[in-house]
Amino acid sequence: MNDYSHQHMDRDQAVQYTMDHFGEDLKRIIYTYIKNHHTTDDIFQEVLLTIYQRWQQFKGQSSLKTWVIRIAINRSKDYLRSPLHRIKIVKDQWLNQKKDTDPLEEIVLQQEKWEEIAAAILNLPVKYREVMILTFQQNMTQKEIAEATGTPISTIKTRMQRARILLKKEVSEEGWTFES
Amino acid sequence: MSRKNIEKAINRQISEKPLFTNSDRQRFYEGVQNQKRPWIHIVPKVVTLVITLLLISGVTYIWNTGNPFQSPAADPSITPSPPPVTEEKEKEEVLTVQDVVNQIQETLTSPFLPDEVDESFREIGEKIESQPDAPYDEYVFFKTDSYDPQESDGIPTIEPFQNGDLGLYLQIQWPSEETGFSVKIRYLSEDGEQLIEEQYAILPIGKFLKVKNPDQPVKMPDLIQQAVANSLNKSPGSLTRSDLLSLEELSIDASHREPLTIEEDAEYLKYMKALRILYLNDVKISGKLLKDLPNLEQITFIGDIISDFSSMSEGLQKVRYLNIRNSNFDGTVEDLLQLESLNIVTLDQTVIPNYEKLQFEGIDVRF
Repeated sequence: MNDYSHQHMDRDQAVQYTMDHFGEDLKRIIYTYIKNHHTTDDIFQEVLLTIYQRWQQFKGQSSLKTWVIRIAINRSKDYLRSPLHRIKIVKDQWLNQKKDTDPLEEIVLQQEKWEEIAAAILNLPVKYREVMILTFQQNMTQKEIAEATGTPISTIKTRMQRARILLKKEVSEEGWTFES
Repeated sequence: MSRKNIEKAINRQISEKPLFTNSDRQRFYEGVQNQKRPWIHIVPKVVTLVITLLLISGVTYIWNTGNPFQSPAADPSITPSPPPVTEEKEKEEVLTVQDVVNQIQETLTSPFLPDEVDESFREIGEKIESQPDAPYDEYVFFKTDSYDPQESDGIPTIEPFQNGDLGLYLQIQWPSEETGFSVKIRYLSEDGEQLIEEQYAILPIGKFLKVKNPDQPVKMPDLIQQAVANSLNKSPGSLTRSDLLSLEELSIDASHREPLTIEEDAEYLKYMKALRILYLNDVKISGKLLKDLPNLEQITFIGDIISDFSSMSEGLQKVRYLNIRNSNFDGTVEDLLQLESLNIVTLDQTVIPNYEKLQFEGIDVRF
């Protein structure tokens, strides 16, 4: 279906289309911000509701996918800024400390170098994490990322470079080799 | 670093199983149903509305009758005069060509139903009765009785506009297997000297593009003229500015003759505002000229290419796909990294052995 058809859909069809085509991607993007499956479910519902309520505002200036991703990013960031989330951080830190003490799980996690890099990406601060996730997991261009996050493209480039530096520090030299 | 490996690893880290399930779908629909059903949610809004209406009617009553706490006796010699008709109100009722142009643009760039569009345009204009199987609808606005759309041969030229017989022409091309959805509007410039045409196609530009004097023929080198004509399926001799504005894809092949260099004063490029895809075979073009193609997304160079590639970056900032595999590209990977929108590049890995730098920046490299 092309963007012509998108503009002619009513809001029920728009939500249906979003779920059918972008449902999995959206939930994975939300998870990379929230890192909690239960809360991801809740925020995903909010995203669908926002699309349903604001469908008339979609003018087709960006692609439908960029538009829905932008809503998902904004909802996720709203949650991260909320007091409720700050309470959860304390709880998660405690759980992570417990997890770190399990050496077997740690070994399994680091068996694959890609797993190590992916884990490091997911542990980056949000602003660096989002450019890496949208680049590598969603295959978005820097311009699309700029549109989806509402950030200037020059900032996206800087964040990409800084994310790379941070990752190099986190990941062992062996795990950070270039391969085609 | 392998992009695919990273992508897979990130997805594994998030979850091995699909996150989106039918329960998400079900939960949404249940939520929407519950939102629709209970009237209790509307009660606070209704109460607020009633209070607001009471306040407004109270204030209006006091305003019209004077202070109710003062004596009601009033001077009978003073009779209320009718409210003056303000100049502003008169102005509001006069619809200008520009008002209708704005309305058309707003209507057709928002989600709409064809029937609603037809109804709203018929209110202010007139629909031209065309053939029942015609893939487009035509409307005329601000038309006098002297102008008969059935008599005019095709899209109106500047004459009826300058004669004052027609203010605005609209053509809506509905999508079919051969064509997409597109719109054409024609009207006279403010000084009355030039005809303006605006064209709109939803994909992928999504905005109206404008050209002055759309029926004016355009001069181009023979090879380019033939290439444009082939692309538009038109005769090379009849190409106009309007045709060039609708051009989305162009392939110029000079491989069978001497390499062609596009001159720096090539004005015809300025009319190709919708051009998205360009194939150049033994054709040299500067970055400055490419800047005249504001919506260029894909470009393929074959054979001869401008020698100083870094100078081209200014004209390639919107390009998402670049193919230089079969060209004599002599630039560096850094030149390619300068291209802000580049998403996919097809190249010769022996010419650019350090192509991994591109992959690291999220660019899809193909060979």
